[in-house]
Amino acid sequence: MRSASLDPSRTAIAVPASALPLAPTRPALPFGREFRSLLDLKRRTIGPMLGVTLAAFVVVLVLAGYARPLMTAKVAGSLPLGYALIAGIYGLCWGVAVLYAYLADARYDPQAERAVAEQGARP
Amino acid sequence: MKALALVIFAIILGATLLITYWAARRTKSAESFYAANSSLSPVQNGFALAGDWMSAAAFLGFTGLAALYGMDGTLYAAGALVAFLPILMLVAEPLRNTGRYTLGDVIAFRMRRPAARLAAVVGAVLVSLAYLIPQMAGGGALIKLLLGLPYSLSVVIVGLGMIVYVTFGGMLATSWVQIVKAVLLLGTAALIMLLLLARFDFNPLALFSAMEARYGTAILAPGNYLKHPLDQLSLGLSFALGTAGLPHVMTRFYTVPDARAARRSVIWLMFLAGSFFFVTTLIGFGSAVLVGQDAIRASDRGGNLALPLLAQHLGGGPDSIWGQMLLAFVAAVAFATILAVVAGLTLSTSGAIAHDVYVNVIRRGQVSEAEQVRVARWATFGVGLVAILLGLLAEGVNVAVLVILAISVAASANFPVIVLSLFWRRFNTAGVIGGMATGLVSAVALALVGPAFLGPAALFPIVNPAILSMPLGFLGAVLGTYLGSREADADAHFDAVLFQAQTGRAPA
Repeated sequence: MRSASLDPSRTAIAVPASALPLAPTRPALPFGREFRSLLDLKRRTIGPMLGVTLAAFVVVLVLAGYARPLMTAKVAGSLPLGYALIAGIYGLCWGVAVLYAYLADARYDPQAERAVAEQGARP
Repeated sequence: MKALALVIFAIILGATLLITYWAARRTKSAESFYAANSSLSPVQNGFALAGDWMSAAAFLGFTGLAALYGMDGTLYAAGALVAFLPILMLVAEPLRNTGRYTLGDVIAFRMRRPAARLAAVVGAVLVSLAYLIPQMAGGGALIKLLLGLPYSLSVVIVGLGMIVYVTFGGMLATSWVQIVKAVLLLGTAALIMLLLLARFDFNPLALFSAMEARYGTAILAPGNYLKHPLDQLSLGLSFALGTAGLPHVMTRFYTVPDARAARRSVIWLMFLAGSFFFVTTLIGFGSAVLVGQDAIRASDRGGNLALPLLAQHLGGGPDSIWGQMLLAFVAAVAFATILAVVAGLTLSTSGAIAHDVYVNVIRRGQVSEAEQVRVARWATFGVGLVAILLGLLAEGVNVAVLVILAISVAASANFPVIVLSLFWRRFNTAGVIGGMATGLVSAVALALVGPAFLGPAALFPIVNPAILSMPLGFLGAVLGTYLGSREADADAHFDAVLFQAQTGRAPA
């Protein structure tokens, strides 16, 4: 038998629907092997790519703040080290972006499709 | 020159209004108004993103900084490119997979609480307005300087143009105005680079030698503009991470059909805008060497006219027809740049107000399609009027301060909330509010007591406060999460959000 007291619409004091806590849409998902592999793959590849690039950028920024004479040392003709390092940051960003795009097309997307098939997802 | 520039301005304005007329006939639903029916290709959205990101601050500001201060300007520009790596790898695809029109959608999808959406709205509106005011003020000052029109009239022209584009053409018109502007800007930069390098035997290193010969070794060193040793680091970090919290850039990912297209858009942007940022140093150096720092400062103390003056010089000087033509063309491109960027900012602001606050919080989604579009148009009109008013009031205000404020708040309030929403299971509504409030208050407070506002009497020594306010934003989000009650539904919903963010599909 359904208890009336559990039905908010039938309690003595009317509680607006918006004030009620939302019911969970679904319990925590038991992720399948394919989805866990996708997360693991992304963690193993994106972490180093992003970490190395951001670390390189931070090193250049710190050198610009604390090693200003070093940044003006010439490395090729009249090109100071600082500008060469910044040019390197551009190259690194572009290279890593292309690598990410390749990995995403070749590895992440197929793995995501396998995870969707395994989990029985809907569009 | 002024008559010539006016003609080119009129042509650009006419072309963009034609685009708006075409787009208006296709803008009938909320989906088309906010997201151009998600119909743009990666290349189109890449150009539009590049158009958004190559604002007047980049087009005129980076070149001016490089001309007057050397390496600090180069670091600024590099930060603008680095910013898109975290976006590419962490934010763009999950955002496309979980949101619909606004950043508030993503937060609400994860938290399922109106309070969380409202907190996101505060961050989005504040950042957009802080970004909008300097664009309006910069546009007004630029048109006044180049065409001789009064500042107030210039601001009103920019504001009315933006209101017309967005109100009638929505995201479709805004996107195509961005694309046209990006093509014009990149074409102009390529032409100037060609003419400039021809003067130096196509040897970019010769520009470094010429710069050093004229201004000494110190001009090539860092620290000429950003004095405190931590200034570079703070500015770089706020650019690299704060860009992911700029609503007008992030909402562009909803204009493409799926996450794969969003990813490809970012790659296009990184090569298009990145190439431009890369040459801003050479353009700045060329201007300093050929035009001279004194002449640049005489035209504009901040160096914002370094690029237009270089264009005039390369064309043959102020007395030659080609010199006048090039200057007029560059001025018109700058005008198109400002119009396009303010249109994007207005659209994201009106989306936060109309879609997040009115449709989803006040009316709880019970709004017809026609009414959504009507409300969005009225919100755009209102935001446009506010932008014009604020632009008029901002005459003479140091607009760079507002840009710093916008990017700092984006890095300190919006970025922590977006990242934690997408990647931290325990994160809850109290965390959203805590992170947003702490990041916002600390960024604004530290900027107010920093050198940008107080000059030498500053209590906080670093111009851009993100180096401290961003960790505070994260701390506020984490503390808020642990102090707030655990939300079983949002907790359980996290797995579904994670699955959808990573695959683009909702688990069955």
